[in-house]
Amino acid sequence: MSTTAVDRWSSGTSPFNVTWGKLMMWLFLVSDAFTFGALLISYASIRAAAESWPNPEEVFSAFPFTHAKIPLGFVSLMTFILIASSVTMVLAVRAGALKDRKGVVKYLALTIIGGLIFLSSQAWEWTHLIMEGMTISSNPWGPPQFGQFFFLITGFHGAHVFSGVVLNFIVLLKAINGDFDRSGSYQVVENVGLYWHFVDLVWVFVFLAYYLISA
Amino acid sequence: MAQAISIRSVMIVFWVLFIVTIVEVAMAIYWPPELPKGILDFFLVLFTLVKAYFIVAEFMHLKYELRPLIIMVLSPLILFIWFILAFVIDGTWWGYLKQVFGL
Repeated sequence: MSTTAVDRWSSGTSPFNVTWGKLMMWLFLVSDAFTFGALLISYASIRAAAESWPNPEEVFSAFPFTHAKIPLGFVSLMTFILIASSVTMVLAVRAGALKDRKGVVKYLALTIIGGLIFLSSQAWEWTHLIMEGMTISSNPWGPPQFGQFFFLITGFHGAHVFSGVVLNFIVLLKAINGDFDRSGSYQVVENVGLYWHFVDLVWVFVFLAYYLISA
Repeated sequence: MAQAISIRSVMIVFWVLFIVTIVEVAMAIYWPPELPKGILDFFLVLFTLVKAYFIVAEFMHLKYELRPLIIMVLSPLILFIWFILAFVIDGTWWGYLKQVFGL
């Protein structure tokens, strides 16, 4: 490093050495972490106060196209889809850093497909649970708060996945159009990549709090 | 623009996330009922933090950013310690009061 940590703060250079867009994305993600944190912690608080709580392995055991009971099978598949789309997003960011337009287009398209598969899976899961009688006001397996928080938290996460897909799609169109080659920077790909990884990160915690933990 | 991540580290993180998730699900399903659930939960939280570390450090590239940025992003998260403790303790206490007074 040519400058010391103190020099970085003495004006003239950015102390973070990142672009404005990337810095703002990080700040947004920190605030969004607290939004999801608030949802998950209020869920934990309600769950700690409840007398009984449904067993997630029992509730989430349905799988499309089969009547067999596979505990946590479908949601594990959804998790793998999201992890896979995160991997293709990393590869898109990598292609952007190498200024490889074809690579960016290919991997962004794969990421969008992964996101759409995830959203359709969630739509199927929601439909199935509503058919079973779990809504925001009723729950055949136990306290209605289970259903309320389930639809609130996975819905809020799904809304993030949806806006991530929209953002990725806009960036994909700009990449196809050659906008980033003209401006000479694929920074925007990295910024939406951060957002996409954050959505994956949140899912890791939703998965822990809603599907795995037994307390 | 940050340096490109190597394919090797992408694949390492992918396999870590994949295998840890499988282990988590297997543990949650096949945990022997005679063992305390607290141990299971401890490991599930630990594994989740391992996954979170790899996503943030490698996929989000935070490990390779300048230290001021790392501090700016991570330091507010200290509040989560208070946040989780306060609300879970409050929820547990409320559950206890409901039992005692039959609310």
